[in-house]
Amino acid sequence: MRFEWFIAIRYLREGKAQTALVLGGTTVGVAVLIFLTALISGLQRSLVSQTLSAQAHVLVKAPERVARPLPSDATTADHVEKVPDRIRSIEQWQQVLKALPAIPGVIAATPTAAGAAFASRGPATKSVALRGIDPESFAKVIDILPRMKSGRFALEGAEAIIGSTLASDLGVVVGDKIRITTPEGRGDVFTVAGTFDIGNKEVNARWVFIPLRSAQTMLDIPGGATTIEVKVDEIFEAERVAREIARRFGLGADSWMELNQQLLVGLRSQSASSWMIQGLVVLAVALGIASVLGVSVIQKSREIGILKATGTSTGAVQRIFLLEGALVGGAGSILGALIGSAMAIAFAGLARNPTGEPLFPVDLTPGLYLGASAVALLTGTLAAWFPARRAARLEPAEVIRYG
Amino acid sequence: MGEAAADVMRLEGITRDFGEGEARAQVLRGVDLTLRRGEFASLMGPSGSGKSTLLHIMGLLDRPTGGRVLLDGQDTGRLDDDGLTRCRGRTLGFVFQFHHLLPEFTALENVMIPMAADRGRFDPSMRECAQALLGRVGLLARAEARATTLSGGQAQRVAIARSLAMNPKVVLADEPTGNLDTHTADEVFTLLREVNQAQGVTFLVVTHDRRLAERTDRIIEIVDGRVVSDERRGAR
Ligand SMILES: Nc1ncnc2c1ncn2[C@@H]1O[C@H](COP(=O)(O)OP(=O)(O)OP(=O)(O)O)[C@@H](O)[C@H]1O
Ligand SMILES: [Mg+2]
Repeated sequence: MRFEWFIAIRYLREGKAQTALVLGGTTVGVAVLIFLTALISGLQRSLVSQTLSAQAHVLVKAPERVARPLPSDATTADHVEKVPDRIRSIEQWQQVLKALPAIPGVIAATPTAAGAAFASRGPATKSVALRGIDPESFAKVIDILPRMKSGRFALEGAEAIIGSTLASDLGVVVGDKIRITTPEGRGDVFTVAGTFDIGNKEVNARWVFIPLRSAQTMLDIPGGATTIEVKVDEIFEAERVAREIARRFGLGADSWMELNQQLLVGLRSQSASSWMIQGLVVLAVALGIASVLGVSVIQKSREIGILKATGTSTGAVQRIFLLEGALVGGAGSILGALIGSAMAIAFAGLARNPTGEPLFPVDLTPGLYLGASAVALLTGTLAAWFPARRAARLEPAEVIRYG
Repeated sequence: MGEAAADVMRLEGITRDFGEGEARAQVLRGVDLTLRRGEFASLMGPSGSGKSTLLHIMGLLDRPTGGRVLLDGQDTGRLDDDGLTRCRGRTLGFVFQFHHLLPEFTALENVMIPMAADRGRFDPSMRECAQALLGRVGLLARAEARATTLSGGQAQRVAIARSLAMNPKVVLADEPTGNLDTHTADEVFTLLREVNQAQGVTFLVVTHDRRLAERTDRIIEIVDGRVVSDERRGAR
């Protein structure tokens, strides 16, 4: 075995209380790091995915006639409910739809004809958001298939798919008929083909999917599409893709990020505070390791003198103490990773949604483990740096002089 | 050339000052001394006369303020710290008053440490070598004992075994029997003498015990940092 390893391991093993102290500190530090990061990134991911459950990554629409509103004017709810004063179709949307996949990052696109309407059955009437879609391509952009509550996600002829809340508000089930009327007075009867629960109250209570062609007729935009909804491969690239689409086609294009400014600001400040906590944890661990190793160097100065007197080089003495720090950091990161993951998993199991998904999802990724181990190892070694230097500089004659 | 070969260590005009300015004290005031290969010398002198200081300088644990230390004809003043460490490890052995074994290690491991430090790793061959050395000092039975569980005499024997680990040319011993009862002191002294005679290792032993000094080939006395007498003795 390498000389330095042998000595370092023996010192760690013999200095039981001190080793336990630093190891405990490092373990707790890494556990907190893992737990916190897993929880926060899990929460953020689920927040984002919940937001995107009913929302396309990029929304392409006819160009604004006035200057585009500042992003801060847009609010989360707006997108879902916003009904343009005058419904305008995207010019030559078929060509745009065909050309979209060529844009880097775009993986799917679907046309929509959307407008406001009323849905009624018997005496019950509800104001709804009417969305004419092509179910097949729509399902590629919005992950709706797993969220179907009853029936199927397909539209043949005069069929409609409605939110589960709307269904119960109107008291309809699959197979029942509902009447849909636009403010302009055009109306038709649709058979409910399916209901969905997308995890968003507004959407569940207001959205009505009908075939694109029917919507075009009802909204009086023959052959038109008011929006093209786009899915991208990397969600945080959506803004870039939106700008590229706007530039290339001269259309309006909003990314989900633009439409959810507040959410993004929230996520950012959450990340920032989590980074701060983690920084403080790392600092505390580093100070702990440095001070305990510092004390052990002072306690061992006589032995360090003996080691040097018996042929141990200055470099080797330094490496012994650096190794002690690195070993404690390494062992602490393994233990801490185990404990942190266990805590995260236990926490995720505490509360579940009705759907069986954890209320507090956690993100335990290999990258997280790698990062935490690297931080612990680095912290241990760096924290050992000053004690190690101090040890290496001890003059053997000084410390050996008196027993 | 014949002279140089006979002298294993040579001190020329060694001085050593401690402290700065007002508090400056000259502890060694010009020591010239030559150790001959294979001799068994003792160093005596009153407390505070500079014996340990001299020994540390001879052992390359400390650098003199002035003068030169020549080891096997080589001027050690030119060596950097790592050079000194290597030179020290390979040509010198130490026995201290307080055995100075490493408490976290067994007797055997303590003996192996100078070899492993020099090689950078532990080899199985070192174990055999260390066992042989412990056998020499009569402590093979306690090889696996923790250093802290050894008696004073046993610990000093292990320290002697350790000092011989790298097959040194010179062993410097600072009051090796200072902490032992008369009987044990005699035994340890006898052991040193045996090693000296069997292997031709040069010894310089600091002692306050005139009776033990009388058993050596040469008695060097220093007072106030100067050699005041250096007496070679025919019989032992
Ligand atoms: N690092 C130091 N700083 C200041 N003074 C020192 C230092 N080392 C030794 N001295 C002084 O040098 C003098 C000689 O010390 P040294 O230990 O060499 O004496 P000694 O002959 O070995 O004594 P003893 O027989 O008690 O061991 C003492 O006065 C001591 O106080
Ligand atoms: Mg002394």
